[in-house]
Amino acid sequence: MHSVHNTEVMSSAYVSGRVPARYERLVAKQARAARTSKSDLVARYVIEKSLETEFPGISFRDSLSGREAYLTGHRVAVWEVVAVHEEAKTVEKTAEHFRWPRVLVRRALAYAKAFPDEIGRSREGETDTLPVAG
Amino acid sequence: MKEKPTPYRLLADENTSHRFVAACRRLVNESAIVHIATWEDGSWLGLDDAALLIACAEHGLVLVAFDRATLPWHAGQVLRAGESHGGLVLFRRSVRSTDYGYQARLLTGFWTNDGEQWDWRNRVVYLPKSPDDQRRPFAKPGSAPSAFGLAR
Repeated sequence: MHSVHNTEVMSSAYVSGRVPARYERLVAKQARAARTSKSDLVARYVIEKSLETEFPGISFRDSLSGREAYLTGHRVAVWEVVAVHEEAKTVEKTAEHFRWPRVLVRRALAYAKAFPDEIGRSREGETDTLPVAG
Repeated sequence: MKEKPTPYRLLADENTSHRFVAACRRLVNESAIVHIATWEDGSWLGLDDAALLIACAEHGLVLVAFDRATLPWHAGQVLRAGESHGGLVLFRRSVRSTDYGYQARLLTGFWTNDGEQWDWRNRVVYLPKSPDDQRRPFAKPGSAPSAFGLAR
């Protein structure tokens, strides 16, 4: 499982905290299911939850190229909003494309501005047409 | 008595525009395509890819979307899990997100000439067949259906 933010190439810091035992067991179970370590999964949870708090309306989900940011309650990834905005040129026209309030477009663009490399990687990862496997 | 199979309908995913759906409806039967934001009062907007693909199969809906590699990947996962999906029509990267008229001509041309008659379960189609086919979608009614790629 890839992380949204590659902690291997950025300086990292140690975060610790105590949780009730049942949550430790839950995280351990989820780490096994995701075939990752408990510490890597906790790191991912800390990163994604702190970003969701910092950028309201943004959530994270699995994609072929790793975790990707998308608009909460919608099916559209941040990089897809960026792609439409590049064509439409304005927030108004982008919002009209999706028939969304403008604030959703602004939120997506704000996240993309803060993490251009991540959004670029997501977009690149989705670019190649995948042969269908059955 | 053998029941007549229910005809498939097209469900436009959220990364397509309402304007694309409106353009399609001007070209084909209005009931052939619906946008996900208006289908079931928008209650399907929160579905993840796998859940949406399975729900589409249950409702005889073919999902129309811009190609994200993740979507066919999830379709494969659905199959491996022993479920079915309702079929996928994916616009290639050569199709601009805001070129609603071209998208509509591509889709309705393909749908009218071929797609409407198909069994869509677990089928994936890319429009157009290759980037070279851009701007040449089904120019003549009845011509050979060359502007789509097919995988199953």
